[in-house]
Amino acid sequence: MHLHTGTHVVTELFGMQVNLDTIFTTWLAAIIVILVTLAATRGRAMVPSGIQNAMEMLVEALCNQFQDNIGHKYRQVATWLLTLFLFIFTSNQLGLLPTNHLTASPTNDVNTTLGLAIASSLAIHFYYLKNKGFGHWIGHFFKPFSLFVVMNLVEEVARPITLAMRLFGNILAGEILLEVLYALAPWLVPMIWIAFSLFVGAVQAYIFTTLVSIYLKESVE
Amino acid sequence: MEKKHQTRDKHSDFSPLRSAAVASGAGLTMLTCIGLCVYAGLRCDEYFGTSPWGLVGGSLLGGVSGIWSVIKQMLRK
Repeated sequence: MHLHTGTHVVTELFGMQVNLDTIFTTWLAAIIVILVTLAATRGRAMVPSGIQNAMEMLVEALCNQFQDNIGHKYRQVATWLLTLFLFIFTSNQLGLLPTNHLTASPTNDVNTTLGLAIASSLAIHFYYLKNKGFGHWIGHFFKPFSLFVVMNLVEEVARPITLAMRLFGNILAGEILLEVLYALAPWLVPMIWIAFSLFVGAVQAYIFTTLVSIYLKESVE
Repeated sequence: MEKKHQTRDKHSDFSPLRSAAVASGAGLTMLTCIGLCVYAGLRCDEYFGTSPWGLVGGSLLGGVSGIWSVIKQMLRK
């Protein structure tokens, strides 16, 4: 049995290997997020209904969670975290579309998840520098005392890898299992797994965003 | 009565979803820290010819860093 999931259409650009399918599905996910957000925010009514209602419920629930994790200054990073959630959530669901291997989740490629995790790590340091200054930023590597600098540096390197691997592993494993189930029992079983994968996609987007918001607490408070 | 309110506030601060998110990262954080330090230790052994002390030191540092990282994550909230 030949598995399509996890294989990519590779091309060479400026001496680097680029996964074309990942780039196209990333653009597709971004376009979907932009269109849904535009549809939800155009012609806003005082009493929301339809897509506006759904989006307001989602944004409110997430913002409450961010406020719990970060504190009252959560608005500084709310746009970053909401964009992250919507993009990851949409990306995770793309691979479940019945398109005969035409679309796959961009998050089943480690390049995407590592990119998101590194960008999040850089954002954590950016907000730390912006809010507390260079002295405090250097100082936080030496807390609680200077002997911990090596351990803190190891943690800084491990953090984006952990974030990326969790998302990548969960989504890739889900899609591989879906393909195997389609081959073994093409009727009812994949439907159940798709329903479960919808849930897993949402949970993984939530976990990624929540962990980034917890890491951001120190930078923003 | 006051004690009862305090207990309720403490419970309302608990978010099972957030705790699940943090817990899901704990094992992987440990694994990543140990993996990174073991790799660095092996490269040190290869470069400086200190085998097996780079590996031993890397394993110990990775384990301690992993535990420290998990403790920090748990204490954040």
